[in-house]
Amino acid sequence: MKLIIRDYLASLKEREELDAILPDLLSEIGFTVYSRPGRGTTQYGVDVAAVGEDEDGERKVFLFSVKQGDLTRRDWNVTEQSLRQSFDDIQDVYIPTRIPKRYENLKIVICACFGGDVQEQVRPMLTGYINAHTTDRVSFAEWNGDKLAGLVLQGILREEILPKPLRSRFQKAVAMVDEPDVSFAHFVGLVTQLRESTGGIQKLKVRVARQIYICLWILFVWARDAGNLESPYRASEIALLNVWELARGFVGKNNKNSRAITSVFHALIRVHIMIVENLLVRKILPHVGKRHALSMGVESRSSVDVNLKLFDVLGRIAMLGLWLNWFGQKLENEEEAERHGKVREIAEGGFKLIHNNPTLLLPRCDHQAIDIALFLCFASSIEGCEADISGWLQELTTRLALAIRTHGKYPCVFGDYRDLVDHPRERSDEYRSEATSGSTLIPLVAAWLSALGDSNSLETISELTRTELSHCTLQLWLVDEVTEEKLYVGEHGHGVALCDLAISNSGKELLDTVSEACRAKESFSMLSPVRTGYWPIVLLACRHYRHPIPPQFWINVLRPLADDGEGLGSEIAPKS
Amino acid sequence: MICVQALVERAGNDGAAHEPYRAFREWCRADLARAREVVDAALQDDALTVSFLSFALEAGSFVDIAKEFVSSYSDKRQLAAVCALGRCSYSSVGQANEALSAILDAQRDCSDDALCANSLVSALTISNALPAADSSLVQTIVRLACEAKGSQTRFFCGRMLWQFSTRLSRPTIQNLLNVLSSLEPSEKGTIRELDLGLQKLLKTDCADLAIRFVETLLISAKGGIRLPQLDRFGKELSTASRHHLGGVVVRWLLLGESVLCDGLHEVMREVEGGGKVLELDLKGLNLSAVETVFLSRKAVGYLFFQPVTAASVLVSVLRIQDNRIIDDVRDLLLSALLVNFGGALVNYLESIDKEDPAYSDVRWALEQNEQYLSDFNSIGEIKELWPSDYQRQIERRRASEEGREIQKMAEKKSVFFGLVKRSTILYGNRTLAYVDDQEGKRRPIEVEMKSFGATIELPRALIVDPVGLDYMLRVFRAERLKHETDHSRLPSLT
Repeated sequence: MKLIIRDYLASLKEREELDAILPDLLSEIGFTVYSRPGRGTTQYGVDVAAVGEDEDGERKVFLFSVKQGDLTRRDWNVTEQSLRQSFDDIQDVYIPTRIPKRYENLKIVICACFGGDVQEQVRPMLTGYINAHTTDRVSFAEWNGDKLAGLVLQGILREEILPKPLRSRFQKAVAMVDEPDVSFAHFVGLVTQLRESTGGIQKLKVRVARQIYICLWILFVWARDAGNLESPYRASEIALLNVWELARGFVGKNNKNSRAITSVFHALIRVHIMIVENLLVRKILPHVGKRHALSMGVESRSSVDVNLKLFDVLGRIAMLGLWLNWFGQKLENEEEAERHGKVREIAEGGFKLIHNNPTLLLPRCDHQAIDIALFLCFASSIEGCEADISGWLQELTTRLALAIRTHGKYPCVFGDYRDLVDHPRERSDEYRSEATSGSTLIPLVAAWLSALGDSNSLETISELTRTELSHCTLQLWLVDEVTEEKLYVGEHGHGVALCDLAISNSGKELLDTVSEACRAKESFSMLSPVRTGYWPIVLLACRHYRHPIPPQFWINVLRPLADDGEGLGSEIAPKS
Repeated sequence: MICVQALVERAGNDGAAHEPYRAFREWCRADLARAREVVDAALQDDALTVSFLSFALEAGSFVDIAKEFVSSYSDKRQLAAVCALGRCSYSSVGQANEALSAILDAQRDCSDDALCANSLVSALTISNALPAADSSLVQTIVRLACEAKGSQTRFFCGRMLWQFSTRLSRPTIQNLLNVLSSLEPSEKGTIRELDLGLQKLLKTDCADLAIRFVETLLISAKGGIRLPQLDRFGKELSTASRHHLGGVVVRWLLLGESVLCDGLHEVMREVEGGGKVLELDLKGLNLSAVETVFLSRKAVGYLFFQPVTAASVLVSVLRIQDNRIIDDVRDLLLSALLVNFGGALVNYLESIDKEDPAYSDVRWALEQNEQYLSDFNSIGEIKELWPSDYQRQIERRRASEEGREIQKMAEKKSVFFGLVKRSTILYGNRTLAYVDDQEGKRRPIEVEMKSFGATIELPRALIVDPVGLDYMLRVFRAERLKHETDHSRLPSLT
């Protein structure tokens, strides 16, 4: 286990990555962290500052200067960011001016913190420097990978709180990153058991949140080295949802545990975004402009695999964009401009993905309406995307009608992979009726077509629902009062199906009905993420556990804002 | 005769069922008294004997007696005699002409299908045996028979086409084909005869008549008769000269009738290696830009699964160097064909000579294709996109089951599987078996096994965009010209 953690620490590629976990490690072993890493502000050599007991039992101020990997000659004394420079800054500026008044009387330990080891040729220089600068008040310490791994094992992942069966699950999750299904299954087992172990005790909830966070980090770093981020991607979603389940009672409250768990939750969001960006921004989006490239990248002989995977990717792209929109609501002008550009790029990437991978012009199963809804929500928040949205939905409608009428590869209600691979098993009306017994896709598309004023496509859908799909139960999904308790942990059997939606040639009645239902059901606004402003969590839960996206997320985009119900349409858009 | 009758009845539909009649005829020929005895009994209207009358008349070449029967009777005996006149040996052209006159007399004012059919056969058989016989008599008999248009007449029209294909005059062939144009889909036997006849006609100067007839027949049958039913004709057409086949391809694609274009697809289907290269002479046709693009899209729509053939149509179109359509056609070559197929298609396109007028456009398409391929090779491995092992396992099982089903179907269709003993060898690459020889000794027989196989290249779109592919092919197949092509501008086929 220590080997896994050491290897993980040594593999942390960015300095910020070690920064990110250090405060939680310190908190878990009893330190009080009073300064966390910040971007863009001068820290005078200190990345993390905390107060805690030293090995001699005395309470001291610990000032950490963090470096990545092994400490090399370059890290020691070549650049402005070198450790020696940081040590000098700490002694010259930080200690005289930045130590909080309440800690002024405490002794100070300046810690060189890095994930790997001190390289041999640097050792004499480091030792010499320490000997020369050690005083009664200021001493130096070396927190290398081995020490940090020890702290992780003695602290946050110690055996009393992470017993052997759970350690085993975690080890398997890490070892099997190249088989994402297996790795993820173990991670789910680990997270679920950890969450269930808190017994409602607030302090334990904070600790479990930190454990999940550290475990996710370790999984991510291992998977990144293995070149396969599928497991950590899914794991980060499940981690966020489970930690939300732990945190939702705390959010908005101002006590120590609330602040702690909110902090872990925010850190978890950052890791999640980092994983998503590593996967999407570095691996997928650079190739969206290449015709069929990502479709062929699925490396399968089955068109179902291509379809399932690319709709999944589209949903992930949409979620990334929506998260960035969410961040946008909290940013100031300069950062907001940067974010705005990034979001636009992601939206353009999504449309390029659709354009160059035509499998995205028709889903194979109804639950892919979730990914479509997510992308519509995201794209509609970007100015100037209407034509692309309209073109996509128009093509989708044409293909839907063709596939249904010719008994081709039309979207079906089946979710099991075996059924999908065989679909359509028969080219008979009877089979088609069974395979299209219900649909959330059609009302979703019809509602958007109606709002976009595409009467031709709407007419095609309307005619389908009167003829070949007259048996089909057109429906949308609304949350209910039980949803809050079940949504984030993946329990099904909650919510309300808004049924028998009529689709006329104008689609007006459909929009009216959906608006009215959204106004009538108050449960949506009672969902903790909606109440506290963390609305992407609802979307994430829907994407991950395959619940349709509640229409409250998009109805206000489609309806004039005068109709304002309890929807979120305008909130998912960026501020500008 | 009772014995022969019983043997024939017992044989049922066997191909050799009528052999006992031949033996009976030889038996009569061996002693003409036997033949005369049969004739005498037939004069008494003995039911059994009437069935054997034609063989007896033929055995003795009793032309005069046969003529007597033809003119004196209007029952089965007349029919038997007409039939016998077609098989008799004639001592002179004059005697043959007399026989033809007798047949013609019997046929006048008679619309009996059986009589017309037998008159037709006898007249053409006599004409074939004695080319100097009066052709006007033969033509009249054929014309009258053809006017009757009964099912038996149609059957024998088909037979005559293949039996005498090289010796029939163009008007006679036209007459026979006219009769066959009223063929019903249920007349399967006649369709088989016709198929043989058309196959033979394709090798003659009258190939154009055969092709036009098939066009008319398939269109008027409205799907009741399809080209696969004219299997031999189709095979012959597929191996016809490039010029000939090319003419048919252009003609049928421009007509745009689905039954003809589907037929083309069937005709080309048997050809391996991406299909046959066609060289179409389009310059003389003065096609409009719309018609040329229409032709190109039809070629892609119907010949998609023979990409080399479809591409060769597009290359022929590019050779016209019509600036109005070059972009459309080379885009079709790229986005419909090259994006979907490699292998034989790329080899064919790369083989196009630098001097060829289409060379630069083909190069453009090939270069774009290389860029396309290098684009998706450039992404490397993105493991996150791969299906899980579980999914791969299920897909493999499905593919294997599908393969097994295809194999079973192929075995059912195979001619050989019904004829030979089948052994399944589990290990090794040779077999050794012992058999008893004629001397009662056991002899080892060793058979070395060779592998054989066939490959088919599936279009890439079946994986990346099956719905789009289906949509494109349907649109290309279904679209029609607003203004139909002037038929006089279609390839002449001669």
